[in-house]
Amino acid sequence: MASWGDYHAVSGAGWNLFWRIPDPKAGGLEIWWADFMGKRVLWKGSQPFAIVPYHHPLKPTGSSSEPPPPEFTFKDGLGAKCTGAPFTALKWWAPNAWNGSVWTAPVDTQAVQVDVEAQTSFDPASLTVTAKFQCGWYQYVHRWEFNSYGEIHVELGMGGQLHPVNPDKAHVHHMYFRIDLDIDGFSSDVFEVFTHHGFDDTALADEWRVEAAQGKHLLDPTTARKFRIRDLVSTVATNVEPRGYEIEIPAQGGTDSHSTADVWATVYRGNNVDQGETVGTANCGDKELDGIASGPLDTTTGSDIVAWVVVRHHHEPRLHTEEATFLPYHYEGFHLTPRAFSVLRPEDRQGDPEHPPRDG
Amino acid sequence: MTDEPITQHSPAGLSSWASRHTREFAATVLVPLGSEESAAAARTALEAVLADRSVRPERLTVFPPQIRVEKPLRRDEPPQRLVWVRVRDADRGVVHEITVADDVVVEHELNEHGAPPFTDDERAAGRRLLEGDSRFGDVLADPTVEIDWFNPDHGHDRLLGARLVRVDDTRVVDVIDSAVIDLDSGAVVEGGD
Repeated sequence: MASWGDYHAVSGAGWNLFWRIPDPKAGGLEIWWADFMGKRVLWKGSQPFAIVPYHHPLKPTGSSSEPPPPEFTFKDGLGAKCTGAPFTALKWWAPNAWNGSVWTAPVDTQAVQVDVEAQTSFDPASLTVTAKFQCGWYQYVHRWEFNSYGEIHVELGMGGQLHPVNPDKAHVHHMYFRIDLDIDGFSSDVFEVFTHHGFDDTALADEWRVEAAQGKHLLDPTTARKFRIRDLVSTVATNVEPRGYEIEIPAQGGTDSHSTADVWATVYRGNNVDQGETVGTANCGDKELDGIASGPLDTTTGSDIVAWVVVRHHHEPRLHTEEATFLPYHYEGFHLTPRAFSVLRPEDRQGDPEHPPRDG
Repeated sequence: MTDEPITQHSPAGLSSWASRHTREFAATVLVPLGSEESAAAARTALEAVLADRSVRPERLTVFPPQIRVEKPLRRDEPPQRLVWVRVRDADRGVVHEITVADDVVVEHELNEHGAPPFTDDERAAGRRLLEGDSRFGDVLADPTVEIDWFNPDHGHDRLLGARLVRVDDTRVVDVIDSAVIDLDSGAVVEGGD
């Protein structure tokens, strides 16, 4: 086995999947071949980079005689640019701090923690894969939770410490996730956008619109906008709509000049391209994603859809109090929710209505 | 639901929840890249780049080969397990992206914007340059000083940023200085003022 880059199988909560960290100082954790109850859901998922614009002007981080940095937006992770840093894998038990090199993981199995939790009276069983990465003074936690409802909760945790020279400067974390859903196999999927128009079902109250072209999309909480990747062929049973997974993203912040959309729908072009490495080359923003999200989608026989999803958080520092010495982990994420993917059976029926189960 | 134990760290571990695709192909596709296989792929890629006689071998950096798992053209066919090798030509500032299967080059593309992660060798070269620079050598001789690496460039040049930080009790407590190293020219180009 190599120190980095191997595929590690894990299972639990109805899921079988593989995790991998291809490089200890690059784009972080990858999830491969995630199957739920015997069906493929995800070919590959990753959170390869973040774009982090700071309020400005910034003071230099080196000697006091340095000029102010010309750029105030960091591109971190895979293909780090603009004074950003790669995601450096830490031992998973590393403290929440700007750590020295003694906490750098020497091998991938020391960087990843896998938890399997049994169901409780309130929650489904879950399989969670977690790793933490140092990125300059910041720390990022990559966490993928797969539960026995078939849901995937993808989260990114932010910790570490504030900017060492500019601790008062607010900033926005734009966190980019590459999601290659293959619903029961690939090449026969469509990309859909949901709109809630109103409550009159005699009119068009709710609508799923199949997109005929690649492109970028914005959230719209006023219409409950969400997205779906749906297979055109695979069904649980006849007369049931085809299997799909919805992409539900909380609207915690807006786009800006560096991060220009919430979702891009594009197509698979290979495992060695369009992974996010070149994003930021032009202007420390996400312009390059527009370049790959162009061209038609096949609405008749389907395409092999790859979605880029952005989760945002505006961080207003609490530099004199809670965040004076370290940043309490703050998690933001999104949800992949199955629709018509499988028939779930209740597992939490208790035998004795008079007495709670041990976990209660 | 069953109570199967997790099978962490098994390269081809499967549970009853695995799909037919995983059951058929995981054991042969998602297998570790062996050291001999890796070295052979690197040699093959290097030969492919040096087929152009104008390329100077001393200006090439071969990055660690990686497994490239590729989807097949049709869903019931087996996925391809390939080896992906990147070779950067410092003279031209381009990255050769070469895919190898069974010691044969099956794809060779030039990427002008390729920015492979810095390797341990590149960071070691950067550290040696700083240690040999009078502005940084004494600082780096202090055992409580470490280098926190960053990427100062927009991606085209091979610039490596070094933030000299003081570490106390395993955590960074101070930023002392910063520098930018041009790995292509082998020079410290910023910092230490």
